[in-house]
Amino acid sequence: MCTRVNRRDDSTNTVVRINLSRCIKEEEIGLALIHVEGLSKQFEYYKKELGLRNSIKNLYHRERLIKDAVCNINFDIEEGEFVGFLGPNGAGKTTTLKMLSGILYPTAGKAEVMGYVPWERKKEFKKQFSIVMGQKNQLWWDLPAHDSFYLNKCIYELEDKAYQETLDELVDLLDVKDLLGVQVRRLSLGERMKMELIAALIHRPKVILLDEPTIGLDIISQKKIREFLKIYNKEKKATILLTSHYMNDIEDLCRRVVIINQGKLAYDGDLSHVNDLFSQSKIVKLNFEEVVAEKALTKFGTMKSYEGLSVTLEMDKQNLKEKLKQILEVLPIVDFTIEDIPVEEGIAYLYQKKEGMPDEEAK
Amino acid sequence: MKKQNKYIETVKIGIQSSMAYRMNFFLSLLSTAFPIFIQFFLWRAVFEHATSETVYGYTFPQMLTYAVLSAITTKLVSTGFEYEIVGDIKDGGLNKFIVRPIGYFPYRASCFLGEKIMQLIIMLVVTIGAIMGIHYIWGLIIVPIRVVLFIVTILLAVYMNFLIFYAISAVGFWLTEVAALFECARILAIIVSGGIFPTDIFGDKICKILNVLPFKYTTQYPVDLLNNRLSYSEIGQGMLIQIVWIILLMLIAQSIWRIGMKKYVAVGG
Amino acid sequence: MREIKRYLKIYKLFIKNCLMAQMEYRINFITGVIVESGYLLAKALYAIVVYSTGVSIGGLSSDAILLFIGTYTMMTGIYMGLFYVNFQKIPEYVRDGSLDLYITKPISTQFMVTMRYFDFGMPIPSIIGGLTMIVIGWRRLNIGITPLHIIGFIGFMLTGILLTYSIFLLPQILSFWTVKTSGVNDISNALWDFNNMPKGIYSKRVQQFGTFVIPIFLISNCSPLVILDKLSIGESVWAISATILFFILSRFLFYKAMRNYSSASS
Repeated sequence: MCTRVNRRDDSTNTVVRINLSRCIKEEEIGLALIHVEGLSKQFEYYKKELGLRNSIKNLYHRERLIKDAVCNINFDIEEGEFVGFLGPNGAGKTTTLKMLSGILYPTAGKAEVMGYVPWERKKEFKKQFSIVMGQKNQLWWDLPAHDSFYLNKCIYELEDKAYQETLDELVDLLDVKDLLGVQVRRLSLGERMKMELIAALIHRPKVILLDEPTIGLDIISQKKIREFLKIYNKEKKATILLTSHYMNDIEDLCRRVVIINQGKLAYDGDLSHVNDLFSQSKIVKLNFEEVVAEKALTKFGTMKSYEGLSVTLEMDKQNLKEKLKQILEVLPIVDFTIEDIPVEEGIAYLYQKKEGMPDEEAK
Repeated sequence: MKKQNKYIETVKIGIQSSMAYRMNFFLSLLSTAFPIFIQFFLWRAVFEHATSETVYGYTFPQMLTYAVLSAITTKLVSTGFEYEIVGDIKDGGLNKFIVRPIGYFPYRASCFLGEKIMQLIIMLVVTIGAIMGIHYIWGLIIVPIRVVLFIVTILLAVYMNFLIFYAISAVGFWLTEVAALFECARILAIIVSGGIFPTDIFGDKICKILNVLPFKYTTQYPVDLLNNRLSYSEIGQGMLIQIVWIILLMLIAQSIWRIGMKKYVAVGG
Repeated sequence: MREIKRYLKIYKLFIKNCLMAQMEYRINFITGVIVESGYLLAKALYAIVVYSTGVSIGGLSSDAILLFIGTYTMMTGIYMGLFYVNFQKIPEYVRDGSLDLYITKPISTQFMVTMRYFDFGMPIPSIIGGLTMIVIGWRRLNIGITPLHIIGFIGFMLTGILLTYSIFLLPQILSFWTVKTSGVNDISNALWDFNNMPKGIYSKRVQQFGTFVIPIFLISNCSPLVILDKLSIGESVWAISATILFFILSRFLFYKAMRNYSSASS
């Protein structure tokens, strides 16, 4: 397993890893717009113990620890793709995005975005991409959003005409014309996010990295922002990498997903394939007239929940029909529904699987 | 848990947080030394050109002692809980003290004490070192009984300043933006306490006013005591004023807080 | 040249935005003025001592000393307005991650971080107080005002401002390594106060240290010395070169800090 905590003094480990990734053959870089190869990132941190004695001890000695946040990740993203980047909290999604945007240097490995190495921080590179982090804002809190846009115009050296056109277009798409003159702090969370998006897109970036852009927003705002991103991706041929907690975001926008867990790549491929993987079984919800013993049910499938008159079973897809027939014949059924396993759960399964066999690298 | 333990725990947490960062601890200690350094050179220049033995009634070693000790004392008596109190008032943190069997005043006092204990010990060592140094180099006369009295008056001074700022903190019941007010109060208090220069520089008239206000007795009075600037009768008088002010301040703080609390409860926290 | 123009334009926007934002909070503006007035009073105590004791330092009369105190006070105001708030915010940017967004902008991160704020309230008392002291000192000294004096005075004010930026940014850069910097703040604030008195008051060693090692004395001593015709050519040359040197140093350390941030932080 990759994520673990080890002391600084067993440094051989670190050295070996770096050497390994250097040994990776210099494969020729394709035309992929984002190319990631063997990307790894380690963090150092200090152990802090509680209590008076330890805080005195900390005065002269602090223990140093190392954590692998991202571990040997590879993927390619083509121009115009809209890719979902998934993983549980602390899996290394944000760290990866930060490396792709040049905020962080990797410990090992390489990445190219539009032919630039992000952490070289070339001005030309910065002018062509954008990162939106849902919990951080770049807008001036006490001023109308318009002033922040104008500042970005100057920072990105945009022509008056191009700026005005883009602004009009974005304002139109997001339907915020009336809010341009309102101080940012007076806007609702959803409105503020829309403004953040405008500020981030005003220079028409070719690559957009979105880190939880809909976090904390109400359902309607989420939906609006999703629609906007969909249109933007389609019309501008912008390449977008999106992380989100909300499965709806991913299902709605991305055909392809990259999943990481504990810093390692767990899956890279079609979202529908993730679905397929887990749609070998179905969720069947049954409502009974009278209480049925648990035992009588488990032979049809795995018990998901059992609440007396209503029961949820997970059943194999293969001979679903026959089994359902049997249930209908034998048991006092009032009502039943058949559903797919939700994608969230599917991904959770995927994690469990990977944890079960840590040595198997996902392709 | 017994009642006493509760306060001891609070004291402990205070000590802990004040030592949390080693760098800060030593650096802020060092930064106290810089203004003293500047004053040393200023007084050296002043006394070089002075026509008489004393300036503002101080001899050179007395003035140096004053510069050193007033800086240390200012640091010692300084508070910083005002912001926390206002925070408690604003965010309803006070509520838990209305419910809990621990009074807000003793809670604050024990936190403050916890923060001060380490400082008191270290500063005391520094103080003794400093006056020994001045004794050997510039010939300051050290009277042991005055050192003891100094420690006593310092403790009273710390408590006085705690009361002053505890009373000032109650402003938080009426105003929300108080940071600047506190900062300003702090600086003014330091100036009129004699924390930068002896209040004698302001001339006789202002001095007379400052003699009856409490501020001078948090800094200049204990320092002048150790300095041999005060006679024993003046020392006794000073200590009496300290005690009278402590009683007065307790009454003032209590009544301000009572009025404030009434408003707090009425508004609903 | 085009770049300089671009940065000036952006800086102008920063100032404009700050003015608009600060007008939103008039109370903060007023309280800033009040607090700084308190500090001004503390600085003025030194002037009181100087006049009431009639001290002279290295041949400088009380009026000449007032010139130094005035320049120092005015410089404090400028420091407060241009840099202080920015520098104080650096640890905050590191902690809350705003720095991440600044790094991705196609503009110098150092510029973005250290020039973004401009405070209108805090400098007012110090600048007015300082200017008053300078004018009083200048007039009581009965020195004529020649254009050369004025140019020299303002010129060394400008190098002083750049030097202030370069020296006092350094401790804040530390916050990239250690998160809590209040101790470092205390130290650098205490260092700043050394200029409250003309450097002639200090011993030779201290003067050398403050001129050549950490050249804080070059911040506000050169301007009054020019007026008094006491600044040698050598000293002026060093003042200018030290300013350039320390500016380069601040750039270099900022770069190092960013490098560290990018490879160590989460």
